[in-house]
Amino acid sequence: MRVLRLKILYGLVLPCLFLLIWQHFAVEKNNPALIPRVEAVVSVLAHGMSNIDELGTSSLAWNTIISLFRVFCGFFLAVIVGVPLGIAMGYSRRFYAVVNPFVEMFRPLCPIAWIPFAMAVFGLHSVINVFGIRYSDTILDTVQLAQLFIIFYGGFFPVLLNTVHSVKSVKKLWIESARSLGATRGQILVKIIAPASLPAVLTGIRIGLGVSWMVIIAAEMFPGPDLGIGYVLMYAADQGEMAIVVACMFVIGLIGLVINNGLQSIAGRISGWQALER
Amino acid sequence: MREKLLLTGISKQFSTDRDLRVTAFKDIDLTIMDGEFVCILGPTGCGKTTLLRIMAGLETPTEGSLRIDTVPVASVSEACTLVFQQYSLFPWLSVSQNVAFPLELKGYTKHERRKKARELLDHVGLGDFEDARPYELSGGMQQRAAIARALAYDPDILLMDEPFGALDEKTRRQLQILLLDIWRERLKTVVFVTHNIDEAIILADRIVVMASGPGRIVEHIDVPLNRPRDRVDKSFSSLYTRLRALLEL
Repeated sequence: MRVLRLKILYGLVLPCLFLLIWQHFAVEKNNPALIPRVEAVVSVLAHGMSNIDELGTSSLAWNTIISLFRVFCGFFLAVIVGVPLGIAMGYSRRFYAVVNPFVEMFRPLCPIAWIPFAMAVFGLHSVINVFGIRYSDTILDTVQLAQLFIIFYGGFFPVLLNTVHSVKSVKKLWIESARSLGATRGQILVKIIAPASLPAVLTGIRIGLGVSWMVIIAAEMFPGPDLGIGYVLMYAADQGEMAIVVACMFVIGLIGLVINNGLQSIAGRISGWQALER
Repeated sequence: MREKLLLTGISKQFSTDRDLRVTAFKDIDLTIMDGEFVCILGPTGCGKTTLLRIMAGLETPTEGSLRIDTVPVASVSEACTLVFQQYSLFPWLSVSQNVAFPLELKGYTKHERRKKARELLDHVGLGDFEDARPYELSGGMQQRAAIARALAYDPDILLMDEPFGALDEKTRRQLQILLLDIWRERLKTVVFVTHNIDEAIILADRIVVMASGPGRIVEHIDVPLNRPRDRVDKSFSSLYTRLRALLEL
C-alpha cells in the first residue's frame, strides 16, 4: 500500500512541473486564444457535466461517452477480425506467405488518409441504417460506419501483428512435448498455442485499443452527428476556444492512460506466469 | 524377449540455407528388445538426439524405416513419448495439471485426472507440489514432474534425451535411482541418450556407442553388472576405461 502511494506520488512529479511551466507562459503571453491559463481549462473540466454553452453542444461528459462507445465498437471489430486472422497467419506458413505482403502494404497508411475513401464508400450512414432503420433515438445513431472503419483501421494492425508474432514464437519445445504426448493439431492449437500466446495477444489488444482511441480525432472529422470529444476539440479550435481544446486533449490523454493501465493490470493477472517464468 | 523397436538403414540429412546437405548419420541399424534399458552414448554432434527424435516421430528420416512391434511407424506413435533435456513443463498450468495433460487429451474426467496425477506425483516424490507452478520448482523437480507426465501417457517405450544433463551430480544420481525403480516396476522399454559414461553404466542393460563425423554406431556393449551397481566395483571401472577409449577421450 505504501509502495503504491509512493508510485503514484512519483508519477505526479512531472505533470505538476509541466502545469507550473504552462501557467508561467500562459500568464506571460496573456493570450487565452493561444495558451489558456490552467484555471480556465480546469473550469471547463469542472463544468464537464453541463452543456458547453460557448459551442451550443452537449456536455463534455456526454461527448466523451459517445466517443468511447464508438471506439469500443470499432475496436471490437478489430479484435474479432485481427485475433483469428493473426492465429491463422502465425500457424500456417503458407497462409502467412499469401496474406502478409497484402497486409503490410496497408499498414503504413495513416488512418487520416482513408477519410476521403471511407466517406465515398460508407457515406454518412450510421450503424443503425445498416439494419434498415433510419433513426432509432439511441446512441447507435451517433456511430457512423465511416468512423467505425477509421477506428477499426487504427486498432487492427497492432492486434494482428502481435497475434502473429505471439503464435509464431510459441516455444517449439512445448509444441513437440504436446505432440509426443499424443496431441492432435487441433489440440495443440487449443491447449498449447492459445494459452502460450495469450500474454502477447493481450499486449496487442492493449496497444491496439490505445491507437483506436488515438484516432478518435480522425474518426470524428466526418460531418454528421456533430458529437464526440474529437469533434468538440476541432470545433472549439475553429471558434478559438483554446481552453476547451486543451480540456479535450486532457480528457483524451487521461482516458488513454486509464485504458492502458487497466488493461496492463488485467493482463498481468491473467498471464502472470509469463513475468514469473523469467 | 521380442523386438520392440527396429531401426533399419536410417539416414538423416539436413539441408542448410545455402543448399549444403549435412549428413547427421548414415545407415543406422538398431534393434531394441521389449523391456530393455538401452543407453545411447556418444559425443556432441554424433546425431544421438536426432536418432532419438526419429524414434519419437518428431523427425522424419531421409532414408530407412522404423518399426514398433513390427508395425511400420511414420509419425508420432502412441507407443512412445519423449522426455526432453530442456525443462518442458507448460508454465501456464500447475504441476498437477501438467502431469494430467496427456489424460486431458484422452478425455478423462477432471476427477480421474486429479487422482491419477496425485498418484504419479507421489510416485516421483512430488506429492506436496501438486498446485505449484513449474517455475517455482528446481530443475530436478521439474524433470521429476516431466517423467510423471510421460508416465501419465503410459507409453510402452520411454525415450529420454539427456533428461538429467542440466542437473547437479547429487540430484542426477537421485533421479537415476528413481528412473531405475520406475523401469523395474512398470516394465517399460527405455532408450536413454547421454554423453555421460558413468550414467550409461549405472543405467543400461546395453550401451550403444556412437561416433561422429558422420554419425555411426561403433559398438554395442552389454553391461553384465548386477543392480544396484557399485561405482567402485572393479568391473565398473574397467568398463568405464573401455568406454573412454571408444569415445577417444
